[in-house]
Amino acid sequence: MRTVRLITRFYGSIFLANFLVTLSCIYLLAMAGKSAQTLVSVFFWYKTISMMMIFYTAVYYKKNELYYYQNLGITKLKLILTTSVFDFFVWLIFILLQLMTGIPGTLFNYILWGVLLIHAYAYYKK
Amino acid sequence: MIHTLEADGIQLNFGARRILSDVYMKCETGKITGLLGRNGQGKTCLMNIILGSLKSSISSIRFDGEFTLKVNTRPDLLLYLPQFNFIPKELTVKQVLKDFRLSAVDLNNRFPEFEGRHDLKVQQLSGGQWRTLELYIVVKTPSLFAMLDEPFTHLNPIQIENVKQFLLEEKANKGMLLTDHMYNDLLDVSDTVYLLKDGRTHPAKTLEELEELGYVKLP
Repeated sequence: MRTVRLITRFYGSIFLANFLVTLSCIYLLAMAGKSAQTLVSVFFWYKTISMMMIFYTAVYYKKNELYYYQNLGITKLKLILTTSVFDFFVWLIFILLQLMTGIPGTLFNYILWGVLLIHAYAYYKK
Repeated sequence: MIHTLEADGIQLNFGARRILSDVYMKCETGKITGLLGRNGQGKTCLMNIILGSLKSSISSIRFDGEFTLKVNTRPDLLLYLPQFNFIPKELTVKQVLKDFRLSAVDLNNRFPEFEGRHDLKVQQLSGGQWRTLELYIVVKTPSLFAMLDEPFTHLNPIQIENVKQFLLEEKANKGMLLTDHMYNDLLDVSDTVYLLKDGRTHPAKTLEELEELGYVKLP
Protein backbone atom coordinates (compact mmCIF):
# COMPACT_ATOMS: atom_id res chain seq x y z
CA MET A 1 0.00 0.00 0.00
CA ARG A 2 2.85 2.37 0.87
CA THR A 3 4.56 1.61 -2.44
CA VAL A 4 1.38 2.39 -4.37
CA ARG A 5 0.96 5.65 -2.45
CA LEU A 6 4.54 6.71 -3.19
CA ILE A 7 4.36 5.82 -6.88
CA THR A 8 1.03 7.64 -7.18
CA ARG A 9 2.59 10.71 -5.58
CA PHE A 10 5.44 10.69 -8.09
CA TYR A 11 3.01 10.16 -10.97
CA GLY A 12 0.88 13.04 -9.73
CA SER A 13 3.81 15.39 -10.25
CA ILE A 14 4.06 14.55 -13.96
CA PHE A 15 0.41 13.72 -14.62
CA LEU A 16 -0.61 17.02 -16.20
CA ALA A 17 2.04 17.02 -18.93
CA ASN A 18 1.35 13.39 -19.82
CA PHE A 19 -2.41 13.84 -19.74
CA LEU A 20 -2.27 16.86 -22.01
CA VAL A 21 -0.41 14.78 -24.58
CA THR A 22 -3.03 12.03 -24.28
CA LEU A 23 -5.84 14.52 -24.59
CA SER A 24 -4.28 16.17 -27.63
CA CYS A 25 -4.02 12.74 -29.32
CA ILE A 26 -7.71 12.08 -28.73
CA TYR A 27 -8.73 15.54 -29.80
CA LEU A 28 -6.80 15.16 -33.07
CA LEU A 29 -8.33 11.71 -33.57
CA ALA A 30 -11.79 13.22 -33.04
CA MET A 31 -10.99 15.88 -35.62
CA ALA A 32 -9.70 13.27 -38.11
CA GLY A 33 -13.16 11.70 -38.43
CA LYS A 34 -13.26 8.65 -40.74
CA SER A 35 -9.51 8.58 -41.38
CA ALA A 36 -8.80 8.33 -37.62
CA GLN A 37 -7.71 4.66 -37.69
CA THR A 38 -4.90 5.35 -40.15
CA LEU A 39 -3.43 7.94 -37.78
CA VAL A 40 -3.18 5.73 -34.69
CA SER A 41 0.44 4.70 -35.41
CA VAL A 42 1.43 8.36 -35.76
CA PHE A 43 -0.15 9.15 -32.41
CA PHE A 44 1.51 6.10 -30.88
CA TRP A 45 4.96 7.51 -31.71
CA TYR A 46 3.88 11.01 -30.72
CA LYS A 47 2.82 9.69 -27.32
CA THR A 48 5.90 7.47 -26.86
CA ILE A 49 8.43 10.18 -27.72
CA SER A 50 6.72 12.88 -25.67
CA MET A 51 6.42 10.47 -22.74
CA MET A 52 10.17 9.76 -22.90
CA MET A 53 10.91 13.48 -22.95
CA ILE A 54 8.59 14.16 -20.01
CA PHE A 55 10.13 11.36 -17.93
CA TYR A 56 13.67 12.45 -18.82
CA THR A 57 12.86 16.02 -17.72
CA ALA A 58 11.17 14.81 -14.53
CA VAL A 59 14.11 12.61 -13.55
CA TYR A 60 16.56 15.43 -14.34
CA TYR A 61 14.74 18.00 -12.22
CA LYS A 62 13.84 15.58 -9.43
CA LYS A 63 17.13 13.70 -9.22
CA ASN A 64 17.68 14.70 -5.58
CA GLU A 65 14.19 13.55 -4.61
CA LEU A 66 14.85 10.13 -6.11
CA TYR A 67 16.98 9.33 -3.03
CA TYR A 68 13.81 9.73 -0.94
CA TYR A 69 12.10 7.00 -2.93
CA GLN A 70 15.29 4.92 -2.97
CA ASN A 71 15.49 4.99 0.82
CA LEU A 72 11.94 3.65 0.80
CA GLY A 73 12.88 0.79 -1.51
CA ILE A 74 11.61 2.27 -4.78
CA THR A 75 14.36 2.61 -7.34
CA LYS A 76 14.42 5.10 -10.20
CA LEU A 77 13.81 2.27 -12.68
CA LYS A 78 10.79 1.02 -10.74
CA LEU A 79 9.31 4.53 -10.54
CA ILE A 80 9.74 5.19 -14.25
CA LEU A 81 8.59 1.78 -15.41
CA THR A 82 5.43 1.62 -13.31
CA THR A 83 4.32 5.18 -14.02
CA SER A 84 5.10 5.01 -17.76
CA VAL A 85 3.29 1.67 -18.20
CA PHE A 86 0.28 3.05 -16.31
CA ASP A 87 0.31 6.26 -18.33
CA PHE A 88 0.54 4.34 -21.57
CA PHE A 89 -2.49 2.27 -20.60
CA VAL A 90 -4.43 5.45 -19.81
CA TRP A 91 -3.56 6.67 -23.31
CA LEU A 92 -4.53 3.32 -24.87
CA ILE A 93 -7.90 3.20 -23.10
CA PHE A 94 -8.75 6.75 -24.21
CA ILE A 95 -7.68 6.01 -27.79
CA LEU A 96 -9.78 2.82 -27.92
CA LEU A 97 -12.75 4.63 -26.40
CA GLN A 98 -12.42 7.36 -28.99
CA LEU A 99 -12.13 4.90 -31.87
CA MET A 100 -15.14 2.89 -30.67
CA THR A 101 -17.47 5.69 -29.65
CA GLY A 102 -16.31 8.66 -31.73
CA ILE A 103 -16.66 11.18 -28.92
CA PRO A 104 -16.93 14.69 -30.39
CA GLY A 105 -13.83 16.89 -30.07
CA THR A 106 -15.72 19.60 -28.16
CA LEU A 107 -16.20 17.20 -25.25
CA PHE A 108 -12.41 16.95 -24.93
CA ASN A 109 -12.23 20.70 -24.71
CA TYR A 110 -14.39 20.50 -21.60
CA ILE A 111 -12.24 17.67 -20.15
CA LEU A 112 -9.11 19.72 -20.85
CA TRP A 113 -10.49 22.75 -19.07
CA GLY A 114 -11.63 20.58 -16.17
CA VAL A 115 -8.18 19.03 -15.74
CA LEU A 116 -6.47 22.40 -16.01
CA LEU A 117 -8.77 23.89 -13.37
CA ILE A 118 -8.23 20.95 -11.00
CA HIS A 119 -4.47 21.28 -11.43
CA ALA A 120 -4.56 25.03 -10.94
CA TYR A 121 -6.52 24.47 -7.72
CA ALA A 122 -4.08 21.76 -6.55
CA TYR A 123 -1.12 24.05 -7.34
CA TYR A 124 -2.78 26.91 -5.42
CA LYS A 125 -3.35 24.60 -2.44
CA LYS A 126 0.38 23.65 -2.42
CA MET B 1 25.23 -10.28 16.30
CA ILE B 2 27.70 -7.90 14.68
CA HIS B 3 27.21 -7.27 10.96
CA THR B 4 29.93 -6.00 8.67
CA LEU B 5 30.03 -3.90 5.53
CA GLU B 6 33.28 -4.06 3.59
CA ALA B 7 34.30 -2.08 0.54
CA ASP B 8 37.32 -3.72 -0.97
CA GLY B 9 39.66 -3.15 -3.91
CA ILE B 10 37.71 -0.20 -5.23
CA GLN B 11 39.13 1.53 -8.27
CA LEU B 12 37.55 4.48 -10.00
CA ASN B 13 38.80 6.39 -13.03
CA PHE B 14 37.33 9.43 -14.73
CA GLY B 15 38.98 9.21 -18.13
CA ALA B 16 42.72 9.13 -17.57
CA ARG B 17 42.39 10.51 -14.03
CA ARG B 18 42.45 7.94 -11.27
CA ILE B 19 40.17 8.96 -8.38
CA LEU B 20 40.23 5.84 -6.23
CA SER B 21 42.75 3.02 -6.31
CA ASP B 22 42.63 -0.05 -4.16
CA VAL B 23 40.41 1.36 -1.40
CA TYR B 24 39.56 -0.83 1.57
CA MET B 25 37.11 0.10 4.28
CA LYS B 26 35.20 -1.81 6.93
CA CYS B 27 32.13 -0.77 8.93
CA GLU B 28 30.51 -2.70 11.73
CA THR B 29 27.12 -2.45 13.38
CA GLY B 30 27.37 -0.74 16.74
CA LYS B 31 30.17 1.50 15.50
CA ILE B 32 30.52 4.79 13.66
CA THR B 33 33.14 4.86 10.94
CA GLY B 34 34.38 8.30 9.89
CA LEU B 35 35.66 9.13 6.44
CA LEU B 36 37.71 12.28 5.95
CA GLY B 37 39.29 13.73 2.86
CA ARG B 38 39.83 16.97 1.05
CA ASN B 39 37.46 18.14 -1.67
CA GLY B 40 37.65 16.04 -4.81
CA GLN B 41 39.33 13.08 -3.14
CA GLY B 42 36.34 10.84 -3.91
CA LYS B 43 34.41 10.54 -0.63
CA THR B 44 31.00 10.92 -2.24
CA CYS B 45 32.07 8.77 -5.19
CA LEU B 46 33.09 6.04 -2.76
CA MET B 47 29.67 6.22 -1.08
CA ASN B 48 27.93 6.04 -4.43
CA ILE B 49 30.01 3.00 -5.39
CA ILE B 50 29.06 1.29 -2.13
CA LEU B 51 25.43 2.18 -2.83
CA GLY B 52 25.69 0.78 -6.35
CA SER B 53 24.62 3.98 -8.09
CA LEU B 54 28.12 4.62 -9.51
CA LYS B 55 29.97 1.97 -11.45
CA SER B 56 33.65 1.49 -10.78
CA SER B 57 36.15 -0.49 -12.80
CA ILE B 58 36.83 -2.84 -9.88
CA SER B 59 34.91 -3.12 -6.64
CA SER B 60 33.73 -5.61 -4.11
CA ILE B 61 30.99 -4.65 -1.67
CA ARG B 62 30.36 -7.29 0.96
CA PHE B 63 27.74 -7.52 3.67
CA ASP B 64 28.71 -10.10 6.28
CA GLY B 65 31.28 -11.40 3.81
CA GLU B 66 28.74 -11.88 1.02
CA PHE B 67 29.34 -10.08 -2.25
CA THR B 68 26.34 -7.75 -2.83
CA LEU B 69 25.35 -5.89 -5.98
CA LYS B 70 22.86 -3.04 -6.33
CA VAL B 71 22.71 -2.12 -2.67
CA ASN B 72 20.49 0.83 -3.62
CA THR B 73 17.61 -1.65 -4.04
CA ARG B 74 18.07 -2.91 -0.46
CA PRO B 75 17.03 -0.29 2.11
CA ASP B 76 17.02 -3.06 4.70
CA LEU B 77 20.81 -3.22 4.29
CA LEU B 78 21.80 0.38 3.71
CA LEU B 79 20.19 3.81 3.83
CA TYR B 80 21.81 6.91 2.41
CA LEU B 81 21.78 10.55 3.45
CA PRO B 82 23.11 12.51 0.47
CA GLN B 83 24.89 15.83 1.00
CA PHE B 84 21.94 17.77 -0.45
CA ASN B 85 18.29 17.95 0.64
CA PHE B 86 16.38 14.97 -0.69
CA ILE B 87 12.93 15.14 0.92
CA PRO B 88 10.42 16.51 -1.63
CA LYS B 89 9.78 20.06 -0.47
CA GLU B 90 5.99 19.89 -0.76
CA LEU B 91 5.68 17.07 1.81
CA THR B 92 4.73 17.80 5.39
CA VAL B 93 6.72 16.48 8.35
CA LYS B 94 3.73 14.26 9.17
CA GLN B 95 3.71 12.73 5.66
CA VAL B 96 7.45 12.05 5.81
CA LEU B 97 7.13 10.28 9.16
CA LYS B 98 4.18 8.26 7.81
CA ASP B 99 6.16 7.23 4.72
CA PHE B 100 9.04 5.97 6.85
CA ARG B 101 6.69 4.56 9.51
CA LEU B 102 8.34 6.56 12.27
CA SER B 103 6.83 7.88 15.46
CA ALA B 104 6.03 11.58 15.75
CA VAL B 105 6.29 11.37 19.54
CA ASP B 106 9.80 9.98 19.31
CA LEU B 107 10.85 12.78 16.97
CA ASN B 108 9.49 15.36 19.41
CA ASN B 109 11.26 13.70 22.32
CA ARG B 110 14.59 13.61 20.51
CA PHE B 111 14.34 16.99 18.78
CA PRO B 112 11.83 19.19 20.70
CA GLU B 113 12.06 21.96 18.07
CA PHE B 114 9.67 19.88 15.92
CA GLU B 115 6.89 20.16 18.50
CA GLY B 116 3.85 21.69 16.80
CA ARG B 117 5.54 21.73 13.39
CA HIS B 118 4.33 18.42 12.01
CA ASP B 119 1.79 20.03 9.70
CA LEU B 120 4.41 22.26 8.10
CA LYS B 121 5.87 21.43 4.73
CA VAL B 122 9.57 20.70 4.86
CA GLN B 123 10.25 23.80 2.77
CA GLN B 124 8.71 25.84 5.59
CA LEU B 125 11.24 24.48 8.09
CA SER B 126 14.60 26.14 8.64
CA GLY B 127 17.58 24.68 6.77
CA GLY B 128 18.84 23.11 9.99
CA GLN B 129 15.48 21.53 10.83
CA TRP B 130 15.11 20.19 7.28
CA ARG B 131 18.56 18.59 7.57
CA THR B 132 17.84 17.25 11.05
CA LEU B 133 14.63 15.63 9.79
CA GLU B 134 16.51 13.97 6.91
CA LEU B 135 19.17 12.71 9.27
CA TYR B 136 16.51 11.47 11.70
CA ILE B 137 14.65 9.38 9.11
CA VAL B 138 17.84 7.84 7.71
CA VAL B 139 19.21 6.95 11.13
CA LYS B 140 15.90 5.85 12.71
CA THR B 141 14.51 3.74 9.85
CA PRO B 142 15.47 0.11 10.46
CA SER B 143 18.45 -1.04 8.35
CA LEU B 144 21.83 -2.60 9.07
CA PHE B 145 23.85 0.42 7.98
CA ALA B 146 23.47 4.11 7.18
CA MET B 147 25.79 6.28 5.13
CA LEU B 148 25.72 9.94 6.07
CA ASP B 149 27.27 12.41 3.66
CA GLU B 150 27.93 15.73 5.41
CA PRO B 151 25.29 15.35 8.14
CA PHE B 152 26.45 18.48 10.00
CA THR B 153 25.93 20.80 7.03
CA HIS B 154 23.30 23.55 7.63
CA LEU B 155 23.30 22.85 11.38
CA ASN B 156 24.05 25.40 14.08
CA PRO B 157 26.43 24.45 16.96
CA ILE B 158 23.60 23.44 19.31
CA GLN B 159 21.98 21.29 16.65
CA ILE B 160 25.36 19.69 15.92
CA GLU B 161 25.76 18.72 19.58
CA ASN B 162 22.20 17.27 19.59
CA VAL B 163 22.88 15.33 16.41
CA LYS B 164 26.16 13.98 17.77
CA GLN B 165 24.36 12.77 20.89
CA PHE B 166 21.64 11.25 18.71
CA LEU B 167 24.21 9.40 16.57
CA LEU B 168 26.00 8.05 19.64
CA GLU B 169 22.69 6.76 21.03
CA GLU B 170 21.57 5.24 17.74
CA LYS B 171 24.82 3.49 16.86
CA ALA B 172 23.67 0.63 19.08
CA ASN B 173 21.03 -0.11 16.41
CA LYS B 174 23.12 0.08 13.24
CA GLY B 175 26.51 0.74 11.73
CA MET B 176 27.18 4.19 10.32
CA LEU B 177 29.59 5.53 7.77
CA LEU B 178 29.92 9.26 8.15
CA THR B 179 31.80 11.86 6.16
CA ASP B 180 32.04 15.57 6.85
CA HIS B 181 34.52 18.44 6.64
CA MET B 182 33.90 19.27 10.30
CA TYR B 183 36.61 16.87 11.39
CA ASN B 184 36.51 17.72 15.10
CA ASP B 185 32.85 16.73 15.32
CA LEU B 186 33.50 13.65 13.20
CA LEU B 187 36.41 12.57 15.41
CA ASP B 188 34.22 13.04 18.52
CA VAL B 189 31.66 10.45 17.41
CA SER B 190 33.70 8.03 15.30
CA ASP B 191 35.10 4.74 16.54
CA THR B 192 37.23 4.26 13.43
CA VAL B 193 38.41 6.93 11.01
CA TYR B 194 39.77 6.63 7.50
CA LEU B 195 41.42 9.45 5.60
CA LEU B 196 40.98 9.33 1.86
CA LYS B 197 44.13 10.67 0.23
CA ASP B 198 45.68 10.07 -3.18
CA GLY B 199 42.95 7.55 -3.96
CA ARG B 200 43.65 5.36 -0.93
CA THR B 201 42.21 5.02 2.56
CA HIS B 202 44.57 5.59 5.46
CA PRO B 203 43.44 4.62 8.98
CA ALA B 204 43.76 7.57 11.37
CA LYS B 205 42.18 8.39 14.68
CA THR B 206 43.90 11.39 16.23
CA LEU B 207 44.53 14.93 15.05
CA GLU B 208 48.26 14.24 15.14
CA GLU B 209 47.85 11.34 12.72
CA LEU B 210 45.72 13.53 10.46
CA GLU B 211 48.44 16.19 10.55
CA GLU B 212 51.08 13.62 9.64
CA LEU B 213 48.95 12.64 6.66
CA GLY B 214 48.70 16.29 5.65
CA TYR B 215 44.96 16.72 6.20
CA VAL B 216 45.11 19.36 8.97
CA LYS B 217 47.61 21.92 10.20
CA LEU B 218 47.82 22.11 13.97
CA PRO B 219 48.90 25.36 15.65
